[in-house]
Amino acid sequence: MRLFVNGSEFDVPDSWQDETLLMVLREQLGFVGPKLGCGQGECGACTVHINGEAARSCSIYAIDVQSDSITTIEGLASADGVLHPVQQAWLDERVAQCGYCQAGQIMQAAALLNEEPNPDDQTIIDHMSNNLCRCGTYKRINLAIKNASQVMQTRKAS
Amino acid sequence: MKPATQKKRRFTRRGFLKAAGWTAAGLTVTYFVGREFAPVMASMRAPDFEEGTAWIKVDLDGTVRMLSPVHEMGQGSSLGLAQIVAEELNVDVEDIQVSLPSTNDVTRLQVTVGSSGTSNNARPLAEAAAGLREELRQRAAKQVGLDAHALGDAKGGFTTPEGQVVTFADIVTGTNEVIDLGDLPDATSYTFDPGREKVQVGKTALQVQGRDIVTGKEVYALDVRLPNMTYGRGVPAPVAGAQIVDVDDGGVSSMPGVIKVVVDKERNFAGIVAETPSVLDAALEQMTVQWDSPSSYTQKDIDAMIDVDIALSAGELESILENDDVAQDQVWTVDRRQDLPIVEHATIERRSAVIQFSERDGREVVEIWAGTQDMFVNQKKAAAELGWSTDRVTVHLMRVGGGFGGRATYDVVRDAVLLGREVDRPVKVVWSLRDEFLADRTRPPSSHRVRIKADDDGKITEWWHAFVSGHVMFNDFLLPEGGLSLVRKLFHDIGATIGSHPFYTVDRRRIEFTDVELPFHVGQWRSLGATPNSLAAEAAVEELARTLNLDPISLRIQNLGPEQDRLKTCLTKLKTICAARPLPEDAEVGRGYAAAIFAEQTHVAMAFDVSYEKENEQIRIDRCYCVLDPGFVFSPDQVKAQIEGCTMMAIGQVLVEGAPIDDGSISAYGFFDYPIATIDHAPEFEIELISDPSVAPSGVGEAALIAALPALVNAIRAATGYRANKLPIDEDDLVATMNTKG
Repeated sequence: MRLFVNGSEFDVPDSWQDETLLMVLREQLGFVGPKLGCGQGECGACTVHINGEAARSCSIYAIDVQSDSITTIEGLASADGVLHPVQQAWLDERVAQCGYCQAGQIMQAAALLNEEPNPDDQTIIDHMSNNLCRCGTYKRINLAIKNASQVMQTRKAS
Repeated sequence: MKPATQKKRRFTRRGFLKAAGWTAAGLTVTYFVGREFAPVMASMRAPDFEEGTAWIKVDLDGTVRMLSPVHEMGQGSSLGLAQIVAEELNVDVEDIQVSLPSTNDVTRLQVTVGSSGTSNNARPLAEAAAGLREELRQRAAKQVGLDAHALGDAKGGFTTPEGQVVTFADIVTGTNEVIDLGDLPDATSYTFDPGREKVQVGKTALQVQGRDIVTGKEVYALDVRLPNMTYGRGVPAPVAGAQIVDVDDGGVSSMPGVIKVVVDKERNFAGIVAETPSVLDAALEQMTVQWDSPSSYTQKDIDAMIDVDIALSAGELESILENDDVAQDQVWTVDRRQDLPIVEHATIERRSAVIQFSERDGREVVEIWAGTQDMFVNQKKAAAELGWSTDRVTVHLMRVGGGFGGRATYDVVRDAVLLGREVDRPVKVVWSLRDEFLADRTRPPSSHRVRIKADDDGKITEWWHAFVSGHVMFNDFLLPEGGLSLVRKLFHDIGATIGSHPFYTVDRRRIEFTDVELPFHVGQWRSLGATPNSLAAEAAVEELARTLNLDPISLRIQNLGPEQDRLKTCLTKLKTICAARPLPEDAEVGRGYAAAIFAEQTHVAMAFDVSYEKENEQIRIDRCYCVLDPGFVFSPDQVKAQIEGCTMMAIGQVLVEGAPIDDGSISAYGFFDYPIATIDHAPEFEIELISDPSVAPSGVGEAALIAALPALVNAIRAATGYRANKLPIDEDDLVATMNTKG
């Protein structure tokens, strides 16, 4: 089995073919940014991008996404290390507390801004309400998404 | 300046931390004196002078490093403490490398609970860092041939009157050096000098490890990977106290990929180690563990055990905490009941540990990576489990993915020890979500009745708070099962009674309490019993203001004595902030207030604006106002983050949280059964902090929760008339109330 992750191709041993995408990413390939939360698709901590769209990697078998392009939080920044506007906004708003769910939140938010560059409050809520944060960083998540949206639009305009 | 080729010496300073102990819960160790057995206790004692915990180091290149003297779980204490070190050493906090210690690095690390991490460590850490600064100044002075007094501060070093800068990198030369406190020159802390303008302390700064978190580089226990690693898990007991009767491994020993089936009836443990996570899951599915079945219980049983009115009908409660001859048969101005449900920690990170046995100096040793609120209790208990001396067990402290009081016990590390010693490869143990909920030390349900007598002007004359709760503090955090029952019989639970004494000036008061032994796991949850007690009290006070048609803030201030000036200031400021945002008069909106004091030190006043959405028959939480006075604030943005987090937990508790009982036991096994607050519940925040460098810092991780819960209940009452006597709110009752209102 082979997987395309963050622009590179990886071999996965046969003994891992029955594993979820999340387990293969984390345990075999070392992309531990996506986190194991509920493991049932309820919390969103494991969110990655598959062909640019947000997906719960705990609920997908790796073998089913062999031909797809997978991006984890480790691959969100540009190759030269410049953070994605959503990551930068997360720092600027100092969103994280314990930080455990934040990779999933960031990936969900980045996918939202790909789809809807200028989301209003309701759109943000609709897209983010299935990503849980027990520390309660939600208000800052909302602010960071708006902040990133502005930066991305300004860049686009210029 | 030294030539670059000369071998540099690393200069290390052993910090010292002398703290006041875990005073927040008012706990003493008296209960344990004279016992015949000596189980491992939670790490209650802060390190003393000789045992130094916080190592502050200046590396060869001048980089300042520190080991966090607290377990970090998102409360942000390590940032506030790093800001202090930065202030003392004249460096940017972003340039300080903060890391978490292992049991090999330090001799003692206090259990991180009770929001005491910053307040306990701030001053000793500041003094240690100040001493280091002056030592460095003296060495710099020697280098440039001047008196130390002649050198001024510069960023990351010192400056001569002529403007020559001597950096830490210039000063630190040679090999590793540890300096004892007694050898350091006298120093004055910059942080605690009230007249000094602060550069690092009191400023907004990026959280320690913030950049690692947003790039996926931060490593939690669950992320640790070792060569040749295996995957293991134990089978959790279905209910608290269940014992293994029999194990049928279903032939899994020969299942491809299964490495070891471990059955240890003596330790009441059964588990499996496998090559991959999915093989492990499949094997556990196939194995059958038969447990004895402690008696099952229903919601009705638990409700009856906790019901304060049933308890009062049988006479006075077990513990009379205060009694000023309050006449119990009088007509009360307010008589209000409040019930709270079972609340789970429900963290997103599951418990996990990675273990590796190996040989060192001819002895078998073990290394364990774990996210915990008490690194040393895990080390000691693991050693006891193995029959080893503690120096053979190393626990590497990892960042905790949400603790809230639920990660202070020896649990997943035990599983790792029992599985890891049976195989000769590293093992990663990750609990399932179901395991997490089954084993959670829940906040027990409680039931309160608060009766207040006041004159027409709002002066409170009599106060009677009676309540029944499960145990909060007396669980395996403190004692093993054997001693627990006795302690529970002899003493009232000090965690459940926190915050039950009113801070209002009241002529006569009666506080009485019964703790009941519940048939499920209970324990420490953010703020312990303070939130339930505060909710009962502050909802009754707000009801009093409503009954007497008085302003709720003025009524509170009127009933506070001169010793409560800080709380009065919070309330006065809150009033001003709220006044700037008048509520629309025609809509179904309401504002509710509450005041609270956490651990007798942190003062807080909060308010919420709430509206009722007729179309979808729901509550909307519009705005949260908070004024918080925790003494000296080192890291204001982190304090605000804690307020926001507490608020979201309060919202969750009021609207959705509560573990159901079904089929004989607690039946919450995940976020479908146990919903928590989501982004659509988040209000706008207006937060004001009162910081006074002359006032000792106090805890902020729980203070806002205590005020937020009653303020929110009071706001819902104001907006809808619904009293929320029982949490979480019952949507049908709420709608019925609104319909009755017309």
